[in-house]
Amino acid sequence: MGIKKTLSFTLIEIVVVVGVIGLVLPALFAIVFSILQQQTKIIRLQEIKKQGDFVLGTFKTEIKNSAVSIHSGQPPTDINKVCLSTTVESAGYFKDRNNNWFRFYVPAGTTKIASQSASGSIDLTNDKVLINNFSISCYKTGDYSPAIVDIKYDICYNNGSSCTSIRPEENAILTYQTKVKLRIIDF
Amino acid sequence: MDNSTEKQQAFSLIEVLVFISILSIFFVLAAAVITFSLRDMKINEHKIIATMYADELMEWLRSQKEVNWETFYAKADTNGLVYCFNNQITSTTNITDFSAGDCNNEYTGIQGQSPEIFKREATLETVAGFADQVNILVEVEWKELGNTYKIPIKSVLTLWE
Repeated sequence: MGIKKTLSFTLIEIVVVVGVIGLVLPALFAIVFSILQQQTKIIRLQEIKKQGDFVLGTFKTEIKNSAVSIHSGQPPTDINKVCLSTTVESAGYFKDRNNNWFRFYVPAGTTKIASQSASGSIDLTNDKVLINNFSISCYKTGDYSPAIVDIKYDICYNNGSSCTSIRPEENAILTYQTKVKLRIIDF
Repeated sequence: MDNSTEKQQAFSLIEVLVFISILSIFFVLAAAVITFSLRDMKINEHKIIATMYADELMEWLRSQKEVNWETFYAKADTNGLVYCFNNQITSTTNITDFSAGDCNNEYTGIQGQSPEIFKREATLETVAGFADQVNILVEVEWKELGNTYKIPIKSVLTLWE
């Protein structure tokens, strides 16, 4: 009988092809997704470590190189001097050799660390990160020893003004702490 | 009789085999590259964390030295004393709470902070004849896929700086 054989895929062929694609694609997407996840985590960790290290380095060099005395307000005078005893006090303002003041603080309503002097204020961190639990205090171990400045802060990646995200790979938080001793004994 | 004489368009077995093998070589290579890069990324992530832990310990040792040089110096000797810091350290942790002894090859640090796969040790060594100097070696070590990775940081702390 002259039945014309038409060129076409059979049902079995289509089922096999779709089945194979159905197996390969989810596997492919799973791999791509895990790579993206891992990359997100590394990029965020790198970012907060970079900014955290920069802030710590700035604090250490500035306080060690420039600070002569510590004050509770500005302008720095003999009356508002703090940290002359073993009592732990908040280190608000530092005075340098030229009687100029500078300070490190978290500007009100923000979540960054800034450095301020009479000539203006500069942000030390940007909007990509959040600063929490920032504290800068000072005390002396003895009457005739230089003041020790105790610095603490947590830095985390900004997930829409929050440190935590529902996705675990987006969370990155580091804790920093150090102590710096002034070079000069202040009475 | 009609069917047997009509030439059907089709791939030969050899053609199909060649195609499949080229395809499979490609897929195997791609899979190898992907697993390798994923593994590398995980190691990099741990490297960043380990560097952070080493920096943190070095910073804390420096702060301890600033607070009281005598108690700090007493914790070191000429042969180098090893201390284990697998637990978290904060600004209220005091060096007088620690006694010499290594981590006993326990990769359980830093406790309470995931992943707990690190071993953190510090060696405090004095130099004979110099009472104002302590050499410090901080090492953070971890094992991953049969390899041991280590982040060492060396520093010299002196009384006058």
